[in-house]
Amino acid sequence: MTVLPYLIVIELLLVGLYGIATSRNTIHLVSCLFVAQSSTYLLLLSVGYLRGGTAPITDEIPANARMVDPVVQALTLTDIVVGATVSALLLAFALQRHKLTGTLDPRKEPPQRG
Amino acid sequence: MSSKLRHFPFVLGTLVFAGFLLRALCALPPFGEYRGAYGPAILSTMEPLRHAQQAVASITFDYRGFDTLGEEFILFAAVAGGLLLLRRQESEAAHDPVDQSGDRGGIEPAPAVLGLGVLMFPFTLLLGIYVVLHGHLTPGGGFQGGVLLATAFYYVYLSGEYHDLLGMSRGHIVSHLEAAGAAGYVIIGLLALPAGLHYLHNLLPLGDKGNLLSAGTLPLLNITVGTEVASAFLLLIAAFLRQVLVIRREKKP
Repeated sequence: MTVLPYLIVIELLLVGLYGIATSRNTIHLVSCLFVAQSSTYLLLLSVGYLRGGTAPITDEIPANARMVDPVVQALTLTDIVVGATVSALLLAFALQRHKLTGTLDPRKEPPQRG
Repeated sequence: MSSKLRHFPFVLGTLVFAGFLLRALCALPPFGEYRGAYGPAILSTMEPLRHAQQAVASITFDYRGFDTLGEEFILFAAVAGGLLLLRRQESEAAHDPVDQSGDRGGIEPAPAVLGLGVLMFPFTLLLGIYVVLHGHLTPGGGFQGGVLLATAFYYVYLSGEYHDLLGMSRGHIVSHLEAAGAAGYVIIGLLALPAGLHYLHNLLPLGDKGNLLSAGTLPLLNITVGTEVASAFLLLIAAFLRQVLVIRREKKP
């Protein structure tokens, strides 16, 4: 079943987007954004996977061993860092908006002044 | 607009989007039959050129070293932004956390939680240092080890000693460490410029593959990134904690 990883990528992305679209709580919304983003980790890693491949660390492995692609793994690392920083910033925004408006519901908050 | 009606265009758009996405993803090489050229190129050159054995660390800190500089500054900027957002507002006052339990006696953390926190703190700290220092040999590196280092300090909070955590972050040591981590990466890269070489060119001896001191500047860059990530996460958790414990809305007179 070679499409299964891609199907799960789509499912994760759509579940996350559904959560964002229907969210009634900003903290829940940030979590959903993280779920949607985690689909990109899975996509990157599935693209670089080689059947029977080992981790790309050439320590005490046979010379002809197949190894998975390290480039996408390094990209996934970047992806995770960006995801964590975006979440931290959004949570800080949510906290301050809750103080100003008294609600965490993204639909109830009045438009913010600049 | 009712929420049911609101969902309708979303579901419709999502289904169309999912169809296109599935078609696009199925046009990729099948799962498990990766055919990229860059991965094998790096795997075959990193040992002769860099005496490195961990391909992901070699890419992060060598082949894509300049990108990682940007990545580190994404984190730096985000933490600076987060701290700016979470500072004390004009309408708020900062009070030291006071025991509000009155004469009922304060709530002490359970001995099991306290003991586990005290027990786990040194081990997690040690594991974090290990992961940072061996980032060029084994899975791990500055980013992962830095998060582990910050986790060690969360045990301090979990065991109820948040006064210590707040005191630690109130001084400027942690923010100085973060700045030093970010600046360290820049400076290590700049060292190669006076010699007429490219930014982040490897000046150090490459050493023997598999040794702790090998792969040139890789371990140094790992240490700077580890310092930066650990202090960044520590600053963030302290900022959120301050919101809960220290900063209060000023009472209207």
